[in-house]
Amino acid sequence: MVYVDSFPAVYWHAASVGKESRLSDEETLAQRLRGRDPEAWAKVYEECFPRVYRYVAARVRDRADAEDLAERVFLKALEACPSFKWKGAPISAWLFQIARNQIIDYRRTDKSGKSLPLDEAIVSDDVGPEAWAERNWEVRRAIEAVGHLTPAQRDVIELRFAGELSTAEVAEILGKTQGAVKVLQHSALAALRKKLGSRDGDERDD
Amino acid sequence: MSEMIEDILDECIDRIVMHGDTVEECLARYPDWVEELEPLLRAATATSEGYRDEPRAEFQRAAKSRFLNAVVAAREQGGQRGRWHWGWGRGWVVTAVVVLALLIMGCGTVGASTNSLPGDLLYPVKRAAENVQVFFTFGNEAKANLYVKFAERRVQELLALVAEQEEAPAAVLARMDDQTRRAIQLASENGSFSPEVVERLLTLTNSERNVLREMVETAPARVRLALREALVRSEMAHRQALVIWSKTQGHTGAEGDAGGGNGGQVGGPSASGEATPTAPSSVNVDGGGQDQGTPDFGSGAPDASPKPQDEAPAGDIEPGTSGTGEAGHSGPVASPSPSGQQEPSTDKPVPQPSPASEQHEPEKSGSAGFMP
Repeated sequence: MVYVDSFPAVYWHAASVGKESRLSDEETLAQRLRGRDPEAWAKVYEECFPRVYRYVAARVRDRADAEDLAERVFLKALEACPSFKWKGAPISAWLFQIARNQIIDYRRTDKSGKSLPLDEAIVSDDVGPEAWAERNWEVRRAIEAVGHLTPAQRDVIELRFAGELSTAEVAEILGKTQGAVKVLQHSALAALRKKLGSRDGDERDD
Repeated sequence: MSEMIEDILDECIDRIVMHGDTVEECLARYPDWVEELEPLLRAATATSEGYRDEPRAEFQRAAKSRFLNAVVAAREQGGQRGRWHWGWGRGWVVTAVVVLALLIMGCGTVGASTNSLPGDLLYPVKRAAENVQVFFTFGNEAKANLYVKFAERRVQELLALVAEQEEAPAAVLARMDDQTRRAIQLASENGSFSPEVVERLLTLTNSERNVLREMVETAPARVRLALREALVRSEMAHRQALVIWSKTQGHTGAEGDAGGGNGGQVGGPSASGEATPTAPSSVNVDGGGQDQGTPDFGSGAPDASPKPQDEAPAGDIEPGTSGTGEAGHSGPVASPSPSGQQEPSTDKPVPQPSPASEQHEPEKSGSAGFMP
């Protein structure tokens, strides 16, 4: 993977992603972010905050901490932006890289070891208990099963599904090739399917 | 064959997750792959459904407002820096002004700045005066002593801010950490420091730990994590100071009241008691992990060159890698837990890296995609 500072890198990356980038003209955007342009930051914030939050919340079961972490991701990005050099990767990949490291730090420094029960962790405020009860049973088990994946598989699944990132962006964040990410994605989903299938069997046995 | 299913699966997931297509729509595109694809896509949709948690609306509004205020403030600050820049850092300009002020007016202004707090008009003078003092101080021990003295001031500042119910600026935490680490490095490189200096260093690290613990307890959620990180750094610094202190005492295991008997105790509950080493411990204060993973307000380099954590997770938290990442830190030399050294007892256990499932990523190394 070759990155260059020159303008064609934009097109190189866009081609590799294989789809229109969420943030148009990332290089210009990166320049505006570096200049702390409030409008540019507001755009990135609106575009990325909910996804960053969902990604963080997938790992941090405490809602207040998840909100705190998601907020800090952007503050940290703002702090780091003067030295940010855009080299072809999407801005969102940069933000999620920060988020990922924040999560690692959080888990390293969190003394409480607290974690909410699964239901509480993934039920949002606008989904009441009744609605939650009606929610597809398989969803709950799938999320639970993600916890049993290998760290690399889990990384891919959470970035892809919670962060809603493209394979190219996930590859960028994890420092892997897109092919490797696809392989991990496939094996992770196969493992999840197996887990869900075997539990179905267990339940029937019961 | 298997490569194809991975590509097809990937495309279908893109369609489902990012464009809202249904499983059926995807299957219709690949009729030959229905049998293999369908269960994978069902698992994918179930998983995707589970990640629909949204931040609370009121929080999102408040956080956005806070963030955009921070952007505006940062921009204004950046603009001021631009006007003052002249190719030097503003810090050097202030330092030069302080030197001139010293030469022309004597020490009055600088002296008056000593009690200033972050946010006060004279606080930059105080910081600049410290830089000047360090610059004109020669000899490792004298320099280390000065760093300790200045870090003690940071502790005092933190206590004053706590008393005034103000939040601690990240810059103060970073500067305290930097000055402490510089003192530790000088002390660990030069084994001949007087016991008084080393004891003062130990007392300092203990005080830092105590004041940060107190702050972590009472801080609002917004700044709690930054304080926690600072606390982890201070825990590590304290262990290193303890190692240095043990060496000056000439015993392999630290004994007695390490932090006690020092007049300069700077607040914090039961400082001397907590510094008392108790049982040997193999606790790895994750020196490497700290430097690699802890966000560093000073360095501003959150990007990372990811390492496949599933391949070599253990290597990422080796203490031997400590001190390599953080800008402004000279890098502690002492190992947190060499054989024979003992750990201080603490009320609260030092946070440990999570077990196997945890991923340890380098924080600071450059990434191909975004380099600081």
